[in-house]
Amino acid sequence: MRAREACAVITMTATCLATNYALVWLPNIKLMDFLVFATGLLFGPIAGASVGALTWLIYGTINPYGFCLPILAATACSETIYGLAGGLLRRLSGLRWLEGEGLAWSAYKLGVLGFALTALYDLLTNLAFALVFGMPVLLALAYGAYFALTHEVSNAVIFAICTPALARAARLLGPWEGEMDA
Amino acid sequence: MPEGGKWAWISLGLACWAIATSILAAYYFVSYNEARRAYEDLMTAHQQTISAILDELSELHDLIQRIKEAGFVEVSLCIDYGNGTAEWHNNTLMPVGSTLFNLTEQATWNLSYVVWPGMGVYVTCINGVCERIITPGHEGYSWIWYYWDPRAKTWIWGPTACDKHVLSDGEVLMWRYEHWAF
Repeated sequence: MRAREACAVITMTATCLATNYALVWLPNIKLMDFLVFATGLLFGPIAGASVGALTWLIYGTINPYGFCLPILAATACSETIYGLAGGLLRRLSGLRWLEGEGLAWSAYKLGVLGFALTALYDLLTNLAFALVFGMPVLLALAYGAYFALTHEVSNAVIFAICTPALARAARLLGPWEGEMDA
Repeated sequence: MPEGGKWAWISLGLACWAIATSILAAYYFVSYNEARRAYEDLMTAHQQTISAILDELSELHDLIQRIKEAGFVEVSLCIDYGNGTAEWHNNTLMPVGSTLFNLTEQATWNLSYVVWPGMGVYVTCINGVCERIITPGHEGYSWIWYYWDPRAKTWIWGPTACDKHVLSDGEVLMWRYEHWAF
């Protein structure tokens, strides 16, 4: 990881923590997931995954809702999927898919992506919750349904709304080294 | 964007919709089950309360029966003030051999009377409402007692002084403040 990525990881982790604590009164509605995804998209999958894991290591340890090591491990690992997805998407498709066919279509795609990634994240964390507390998996999923849906819909909206900002940031930061070669 | 890519995003959007509705269904299923369980608990508690009340009533009935068997009579007394106000003392238990005078003493808080030798007790005031003679021997307001005749379904004028009338079980009596004139 180069200095630029390291700085980005530190800054984005701090931003994630700040927004998490600022929105602590609003359960399951956070800007963190989008910020982790954006880091992956702008600085690569390793940077994105690092921001997700580091944020959860701090936020999960000093958490007003309590501390539980197995759940912390599950959430820290699951959060990396946003960063990995962002980085992989950029690596596979470049920035064309973000701006190529109009802002509305991009917003739709990001919203859908936010929803799908969050559904995967919720599935993984609910599975971890069921395993840790010895609950039947279906029951854990059913009982977590309301929170999961809130999380997924809010993330879809946040991802979609933040599309213009993300596109602008991507333009300002310029292409990656590999993209320039290409 | 290739046509396939567009449809992939649309498919992902529909998949998200399917996930959202499935989660919503799971949430309402859990809510329904919780509401049904709460309703069943409430019904059980309701049945237990009704059953407890019936048991208490049964015990009370048995107690009344035992009291009656032990030498009590159950009578009801109405005090009609002649101005539209009437107070009932229903199902009052009195020892066997009690008279209407004893019952009146127990049921009222302020009783005045005179004792006519050879005739008996003559009630002049009940609860602060006193006899008023307008023209001696011709007109006035006095307390008169009656007993209820269940066969004729009418009130019958009391034939003796109140201390001469021995109470019988189930009897219904009345003091009425009324105008008289000869």
